[in-house]
Amino acid sequence: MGFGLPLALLLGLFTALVVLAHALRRGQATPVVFPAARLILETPAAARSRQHIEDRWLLLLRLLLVAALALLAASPFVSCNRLSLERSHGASLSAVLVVDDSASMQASIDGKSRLVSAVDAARQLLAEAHPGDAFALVLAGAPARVLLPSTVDLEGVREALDNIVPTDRGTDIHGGLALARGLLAQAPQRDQPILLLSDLSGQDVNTLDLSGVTVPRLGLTNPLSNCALITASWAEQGVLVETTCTHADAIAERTLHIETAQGVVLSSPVVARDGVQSLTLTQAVEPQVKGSAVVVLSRSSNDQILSDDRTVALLTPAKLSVALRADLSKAGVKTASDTVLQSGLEALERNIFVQPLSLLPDEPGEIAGYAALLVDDPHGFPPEARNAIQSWVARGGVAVVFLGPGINRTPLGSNFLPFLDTMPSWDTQVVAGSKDSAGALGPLTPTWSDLNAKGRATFAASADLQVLAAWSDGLPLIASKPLGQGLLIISSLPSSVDVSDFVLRPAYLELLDHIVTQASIRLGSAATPVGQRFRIPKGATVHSTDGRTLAPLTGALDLRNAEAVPATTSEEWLVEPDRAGAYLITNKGERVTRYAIRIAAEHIAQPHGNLVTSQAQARAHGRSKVGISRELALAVLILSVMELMLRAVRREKSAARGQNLLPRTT
Amino acid sequence: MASNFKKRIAQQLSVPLRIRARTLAEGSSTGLHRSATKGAGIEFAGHRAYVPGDDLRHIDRHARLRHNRLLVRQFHTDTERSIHLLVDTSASMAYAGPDTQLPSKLDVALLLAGALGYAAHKAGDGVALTLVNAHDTQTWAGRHGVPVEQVLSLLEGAQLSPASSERERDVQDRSPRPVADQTLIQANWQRAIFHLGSSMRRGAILFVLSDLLDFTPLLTKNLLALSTLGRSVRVAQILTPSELSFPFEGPTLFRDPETKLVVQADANKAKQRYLTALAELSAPLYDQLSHVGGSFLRVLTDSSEQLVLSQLVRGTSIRGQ
Repeated sequence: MGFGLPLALLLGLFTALVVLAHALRRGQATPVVFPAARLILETPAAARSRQHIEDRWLLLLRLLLVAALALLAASPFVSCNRLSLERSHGASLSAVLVVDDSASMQASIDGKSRLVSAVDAARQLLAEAHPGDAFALVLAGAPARVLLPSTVDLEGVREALDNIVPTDRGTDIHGGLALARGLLAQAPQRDQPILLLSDLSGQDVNTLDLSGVTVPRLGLTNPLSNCALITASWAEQGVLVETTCTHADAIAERTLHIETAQGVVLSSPVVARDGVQSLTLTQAVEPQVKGSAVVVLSRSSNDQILSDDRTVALLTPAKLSVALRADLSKAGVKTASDTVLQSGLEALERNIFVQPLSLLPDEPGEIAGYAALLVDDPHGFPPEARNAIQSWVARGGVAVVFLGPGINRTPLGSNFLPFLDTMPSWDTQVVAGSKDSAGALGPLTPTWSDLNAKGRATFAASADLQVLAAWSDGLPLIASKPLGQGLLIISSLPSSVDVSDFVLRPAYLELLDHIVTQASIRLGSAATPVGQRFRIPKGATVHSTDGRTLAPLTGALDLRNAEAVPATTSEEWLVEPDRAGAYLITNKGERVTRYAIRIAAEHIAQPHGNLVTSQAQARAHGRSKVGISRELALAVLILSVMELMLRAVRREKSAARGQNLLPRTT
Repeated sequence: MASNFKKRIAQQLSVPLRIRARTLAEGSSTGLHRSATKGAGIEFAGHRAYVPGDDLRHIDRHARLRHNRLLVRQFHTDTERSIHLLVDTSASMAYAGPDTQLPSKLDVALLLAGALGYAAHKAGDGVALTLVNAHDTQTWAGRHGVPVEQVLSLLEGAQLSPASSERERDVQDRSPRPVADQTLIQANWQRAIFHLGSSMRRGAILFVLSDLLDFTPLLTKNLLALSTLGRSVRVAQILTPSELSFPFEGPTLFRDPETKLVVQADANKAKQRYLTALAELSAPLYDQLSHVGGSFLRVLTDSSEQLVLSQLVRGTSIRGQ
């Protein structure tokens, strides 16, 4: 802001002069013809000492006029944040409204939630749309999804906006913007605004690519004050509850207790605290009651999200259990006591419980409680292990093998089934690096492009293998293949840093994340974050505890991570829970309960209604500002006309008084 | 009611003065018949206060003893009565007030003068006419008066006097007023009164139709002096309602079309002072005319001419509205 703005706004001080002028205005005497004027005693002009301001309407108009003129002078520098659609080319536009429907958008002040504000803003933008403008709706709750493809049916867009409901999802603005850009890629219009309606909570705004994105100020900047029940699971003596709060005051004088779905209290109230605590039952509880029991956090006046003050007590542990078979001597590093695999899984911060295995499983039951099994540099799999893994994977498990030099020491009778149909070989030839196959695992895959490896496992790429990353010579680096409801993943490099720097590259964490995601969406995990999809057998039905039926996804609208999420097959469906709670999956009389749990960060992260860095702020808000010169000029014009009319009326009245007093001749 | 009245006035103004005057005079049930002049005669008509110049033979000594003041006996006289009409045609009389629907003071004065002249003519009395304005004093009189048709014609001519249009121009003229204007018209008034003093015979009745704005104490004294020798002076002060109520507000620039006087004043503050000055202007005439057999009548331009004419003829003194 230069000197122009304050100087222009200084014109507003002229309003004081107007008031002064009216107060001291020497009233313009009304001329009248009056024969008896000689009888009137001349009095001095009293206007200078006038106590009451006359012509109040005229004064008001003039004040408004001066103020409008001052703003008009400053208008090149001043702009309002009224939501509008910028049309740099004047023609129709194709806009994408990215509405954040994550859990943080449930926070409300004075009864109005952030989501309602965002939807209202979207309606306001729609109100400015012209016929022929195309709009698309993208929801930025994790995972981001297209609510409505680009359409010129504005009424349809409004109806779609009405259908946006609060969810307990995480935030996925990256995905939402990627979807929006994908939708606009083929749009013929030259104006292609992307409007992000979000509190930017739980998101590192500095990493957002906001080029071409307008982030209107929605006023979602009020600090969040909230406590949320993230998980609750039955233990031996009661329920273990994990509570998280924005700050200590948010949980002050609040209590926790267990009650049934019908509201029967099962435990005495316990003073709530931030973290994990145990609630003890005061009475014996039937097993079926346990399934519907909920933990309740007492209300507080400053709690902004009410829906997260109740949570279902899980019958199974909430954490994703991963079995790991790795040799610390080969897969470890000197600076840590854990294997690289274990460190990598914990680095994901995905609420994972890692259980190292000393031996490969001989029975499926040995790994039945796990969602994934990771085996590093095995010497092949003996028949018992092959059968156990195959059976376990077919029911939904995710098994991963990191092939290494151990291939060369495969004993007789062992092989690499069910991962590979043929025997792999360990090739010690130095390979330059991996082939760029970005997108299969994620955007970080190219970081493997210059791998330094002393060797690699080579195996033939069979028809059922899907190559997720490949070497520069085309051989698979990472491959996967489905087996029943589960998934098999093969890596041609071990986790040992002595063999390669494979695990030191960012793409390694992306691979682990892929594995955990695949494990989560399968039956191997009973509790997954809200938004994480359930893979269910075709024909199965999914009901939430509140009576809703979840429809299977078609997958057609997910334009982004189509490969990262297993596509639906003829035998499987995907459903996506959007609220935390228990979901009953019924398939041919068999009932399985799965849980969707809240994402803690969504309930405690503060909003970034105002972007934190000036660079991001300028980038994001620059186009949301709307010049007000036109409106101001119109206001000045109207006020000027009104002022002239008022003066004309006054003058006419005054003249009438004078003219009517002219001597008449008849 | 008011709108009907204004409509009627507007219609009447379009009718020639002589017809309106005749209609007014003929419509009056009173006429001049009851206005028998009191003075020297046979039939006793009453007493009145002595004023210098009265015939000392008519002083009633018995009445003086009873009332402790000089009273003069009056008698119905059978002498020939003459009617003198003194009409103010100065520019101030052209004023009609803010309400253009009302007649001007001059309209009312000329109509009343015409009706009085016609009534006198019907009663067989001679009529003399004097018009006073800033330019001159014109008198039409004869031994047996002026024919009524001539009187009416002269009154119509006064209606079309160029003085009015000149005053209209004065309204736009913001030059300082020539002080001589007012003294000139006062001199003309003085001349007219002086002339009437010498020409009015015993028993004559003088009707003064003016707004009296130019009257000075000297003129008032001289006018009162005409009420001797059995002569009667009946003054009709014709004002517009606005002159009586002073409806102006706020800073106002008052321009006198006659004297070109420009007075700037806050109307709210000046109102009371003005009303007092207006009352003082006519107070001497009102107070003293009735004592000398005359009458003072304040006429508003929105008043009923019929009523006004009747009161004028009867010699009723009314100062209010």
